[in-house]
Amino acid sequence: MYICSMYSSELIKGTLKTIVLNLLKDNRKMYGYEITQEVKKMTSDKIQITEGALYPTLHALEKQGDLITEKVYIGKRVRKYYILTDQGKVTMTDRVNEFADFMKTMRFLLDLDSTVQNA
Amino acid sequence: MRSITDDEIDFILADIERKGIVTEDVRYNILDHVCCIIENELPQNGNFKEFYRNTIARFYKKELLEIERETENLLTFKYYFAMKRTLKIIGLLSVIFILLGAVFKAMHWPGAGVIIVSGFFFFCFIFIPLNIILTFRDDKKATNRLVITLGMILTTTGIFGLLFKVMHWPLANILFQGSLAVFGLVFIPLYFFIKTRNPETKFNAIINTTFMVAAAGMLFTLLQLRPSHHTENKEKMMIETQSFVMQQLKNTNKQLLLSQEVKSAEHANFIKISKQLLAQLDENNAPTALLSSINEYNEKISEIGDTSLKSMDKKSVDYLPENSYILKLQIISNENAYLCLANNN
Repeated sequence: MYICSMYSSELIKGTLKTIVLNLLKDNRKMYGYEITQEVKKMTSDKIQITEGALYPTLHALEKQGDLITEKVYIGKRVRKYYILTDQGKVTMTDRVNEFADFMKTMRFLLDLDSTVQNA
Repeated sequence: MRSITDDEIDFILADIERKGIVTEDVRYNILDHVCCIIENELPQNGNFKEFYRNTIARFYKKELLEIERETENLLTFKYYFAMKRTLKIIGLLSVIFILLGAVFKAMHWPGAGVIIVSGFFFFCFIFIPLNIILTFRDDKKATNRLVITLGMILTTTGIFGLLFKVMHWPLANILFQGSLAVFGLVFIPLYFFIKTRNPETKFNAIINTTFMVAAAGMLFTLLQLRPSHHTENKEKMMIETQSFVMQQLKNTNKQLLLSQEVKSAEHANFIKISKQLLAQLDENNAPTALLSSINEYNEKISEIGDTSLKSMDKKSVDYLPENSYILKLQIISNENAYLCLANNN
């Protein structure tokens, strides 16, 4: 249900909000399908966000006040563009920093640098 | 790029609705997403319906409703940690209030009722519902949810029974004994059969069931407790002595009445009021009627103004009919004292 990718779902579960918030930085506005395609393109298909995981996350971020939406009517259908709010920018920075710190800790914990050197 | 038609949009929207998506935002998000996929990935001569069926199947594992449930879950439990913190604070407050109320009640200090009712209110109306909500979030199994909900409801009704008993409100016994009966006959067997089916919870279920049966048994025994034979005999002797004293007083009063003429209208009036009150006590009259007679009686005693005559205690009416005997004895004693007084004059 979470993220379909070449990585295990346990590994990347919990990073979806960070991915979405980071994509929308620099005042970009994107809609759901566009987000999935962008992530797919940027990671060369290594991470593919499923619709079942994306929309609940987008709704939760909107409810929390991290995102606002802009509706555009295309014929009979409505497209919702998601935009980062000021609060969302702070959340995004916090989450990205937290994740960077986590990666640093994991790198040290799993002794990845020496593993790479030894390889 | 293929352009999607209005009929195709209507078809997709109807299908999403049919699959149970009711939230408008979720519905339009899915619609736009499916449309985008079709526009970008369906070849010009491709079969729309077949492609749509394959596309929508990518959105879920078992059913499309999963998206709506997941959204609801994320939104509802946004305040999960705040709720957990509230649960801890309210739990602590309830315990403090209930214990403090119990001490106040035992010492007969003022404010005991307010403190104890507040404690039970916090416990029953905030702590227990919050606990049910949080348990529902953590445990998705229907049988486990049934057990926890039934348990919490029985705890609430049982506590209300106890509260009503402490506050001397009506229906206390029905609430408490009813809860205990449902607990023993429905909840414990249900808990046992549901929890022992799971190997992980089997051992704990057996231990918990033993504790619950023991607790229910002890409570039931406590409810059935009767006074010992020794106490019953003492009570019987006391009643016999009181009856004897009362009869003696009645006989003396009769003789006193016979030995003297009714000296005044006031004298006759006092005897009349006494008789009227005694009759009302015999008939177990409504407290309001009884209170008005007691007021009349007390006024008469204050008119006479003799210290050997005691006014009736109006609070005693709250504990009728258990103490009607004491009230009757007081009336007859007063009558005796009055007659002796009149005789001496």
